[in-house]
Amino acid sequence: MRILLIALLASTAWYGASRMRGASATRRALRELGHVAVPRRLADREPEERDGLALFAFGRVPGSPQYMGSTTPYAERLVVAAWTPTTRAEAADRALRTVALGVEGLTWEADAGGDAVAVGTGTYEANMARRPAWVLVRDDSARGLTFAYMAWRRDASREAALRTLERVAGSFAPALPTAEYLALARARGGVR
Amino acid sequence: MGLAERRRILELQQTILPERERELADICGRAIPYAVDWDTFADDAEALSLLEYSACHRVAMALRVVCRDALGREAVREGLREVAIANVADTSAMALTFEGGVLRLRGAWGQRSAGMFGDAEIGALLSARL
Repeated sequence: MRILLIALLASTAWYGASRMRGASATRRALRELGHVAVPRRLADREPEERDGLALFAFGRVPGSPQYMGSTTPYAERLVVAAWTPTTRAEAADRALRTVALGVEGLTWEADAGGDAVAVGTGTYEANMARRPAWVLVRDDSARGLTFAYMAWRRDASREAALRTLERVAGSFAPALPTAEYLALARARGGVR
Repeated sequence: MGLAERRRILELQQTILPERERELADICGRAIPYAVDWDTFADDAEALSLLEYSACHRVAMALRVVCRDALGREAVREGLREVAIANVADTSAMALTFEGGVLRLRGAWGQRSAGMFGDAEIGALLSARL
């Protein structure tokens, strides 16, 4: 029984890590804002548009049944938040809360300031899952965007997590300027 | 037409529009092609760069609302056979029509938000005529 359990855990860990390694990116439209290239393994969620900010969220649910329960667990989450200067703090906060939902004991490395990446660590807890996790947040002040990312440390090294975040941020291709897109979103009204 | 415009048209034809057509098929359960009058976009790089976001995205959003139930999906499958997109230079020449199963969007796409149609407007037209 113990051997079976160890084999199950090892295969789950291998599966998670291999999912990260074999990642190719696909182009995901961010409504009228533009698009980003996101790892194919991450599924889209319905965007959230509020007055003056928008959140585009992506996530990966671990495949193993050992993590299933009353809460949908995430092994990886990514959020692209668009904001105006007046909603910047709220958007960044909501982006962080979304990716770090379920991450307990989050602590941050020394703040580099500016648009540098903030790197935090904590323990992701959901159902039976308790996994050390990276949480990363990066602002793009010029474009009015915040990129936030969470990945289990078992699946990604610090460098790999940073690389993923930087690739997503670097792939952003704008369509309308952020302020103009948010004005359209406001005109639409409510959450769509 | 410059090289940048030709590259963008190729990307739209080979990658983006097929993806957006698959999106429409997912929404309403039937393939609905986009027919773009490329000549009208020839010298309008801004319109080409915004075509996907301003036109295709808004058509998809409108259809998501119309196709929210089986009745709507059936009406779209039976009544909408093509989405035709053309570009006009000035907002005064814009027109949104739905006749003979063809949804036609003549937008001033290069004028950004002033030159596009709202998804509510597109959805209302389809709902009234389907």
